[in-house]
Amino acid sequence: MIEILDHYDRRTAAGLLARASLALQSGEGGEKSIVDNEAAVREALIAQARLKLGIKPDDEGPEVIEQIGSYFDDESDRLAGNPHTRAAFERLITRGDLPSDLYDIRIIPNVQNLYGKKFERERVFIERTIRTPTKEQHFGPPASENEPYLISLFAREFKTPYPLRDFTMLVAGKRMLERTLEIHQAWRLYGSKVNLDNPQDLVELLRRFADVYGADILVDGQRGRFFLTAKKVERTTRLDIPAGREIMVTHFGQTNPQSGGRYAALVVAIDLGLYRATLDKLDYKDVS
Amino acid sequence: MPGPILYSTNPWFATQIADKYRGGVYLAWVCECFDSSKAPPSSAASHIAPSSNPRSIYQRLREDCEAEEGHSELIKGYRKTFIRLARAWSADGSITNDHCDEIIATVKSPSWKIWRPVLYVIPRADIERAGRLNSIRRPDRAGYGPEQQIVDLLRHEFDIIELGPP
Repeated sequence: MIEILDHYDRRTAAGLLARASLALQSGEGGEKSIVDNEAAVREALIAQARLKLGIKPDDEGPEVIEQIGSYFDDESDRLAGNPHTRAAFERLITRGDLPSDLYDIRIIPNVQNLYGKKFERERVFIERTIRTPTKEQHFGPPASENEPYLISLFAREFKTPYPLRDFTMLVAGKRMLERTLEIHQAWRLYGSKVNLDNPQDLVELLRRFADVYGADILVDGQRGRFFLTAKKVERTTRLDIPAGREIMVTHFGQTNPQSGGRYAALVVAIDLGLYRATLDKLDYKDVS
Repeated sequence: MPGPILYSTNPWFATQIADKYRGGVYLAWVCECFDSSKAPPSSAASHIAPSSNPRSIYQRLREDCEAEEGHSELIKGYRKTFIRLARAWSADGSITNDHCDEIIATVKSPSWKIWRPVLYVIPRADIERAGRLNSIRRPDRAGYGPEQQIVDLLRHEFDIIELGPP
């Protein structure tokens, strides 16, 4: 215990120690004092640490500076206590700021069925895309009525020996509490089929994908193959589909946090035959 | 003669802290060349220590992230610094207690993504002309070569890039 800190509340005391450590480490420590005569307090802290650790007053070696800094860190940890990690993560999840490699990934059966026997291979690409995306987009609490909510999109490029067979994986998932990311959509986008140039965001990329592989459905009285949000998505909203074509309508169920009303987000209707034909033609065994 | 570009390697999480908690104000330790080991032998930059060389830092950080090196000294150092900064900002009132907890909980988490390196590429002229390029005094530098710091860098003043594999 460092007695001189008894004059301050725990947050200030922990901050004084942190600022002293930063000053020792790199000369940073804040331009403005946070307490009266902080320079003198810092000198006293360092003197007391030297005494406690048995370090000579004139020893300024890097190991000594490191030792004093570590001592201050330990004291600062003790004063500040543990962070409220669970509550902190819940706020980060709500805002979409939790690092994506901290989520447990759960892929819904629809996606597993889509890739069939090749799903385990696809799972590797999906997980890499989420863990180390090259682009990501997160919808946090809605700013206006019926925006997507707690949904994240990730994209990552995958290479093969043949540039024509390179693809961008686009994954969309719903962030749940308890750090689970529930994956509802995972698509490969090949540059020869879908325009990948300078999309405004990943929703735009999903829209372009639906433009190529989509099948029109009726949602809220509107005909289309991509809807950012919709009031209601039902099986009866599908238009007449020619025999032999398999159309998958996928969306995220949403609850408006204010009104409690249900709606859907990122509704896409995809012609799976068309999509699988591209995979059959362009997939290649060596992907990195 | 110093080059027109300044370089700074940072973990990706440093950009998140600047964006989410510091009002878009970035702090950067900068170097006047990307690879001081390739600087002309007679130049001041050639005396920049490897531990301050943007290229060396980038390579080490990338290797440690790819290998998920749990004993990475570099990552331990960043973790320590971010915790100190969070506590210092919380004490001076520039972030809330909740934000302090979020930063500390994140850097103590098992995420590797937050440590992946990014390179700041900063045009020098405007920063220097405005007197915002602070020289680091010798005791706080790792070597004899010049090192500088910018404490109020704004996002539109530089580019952030991620380098491909060597």
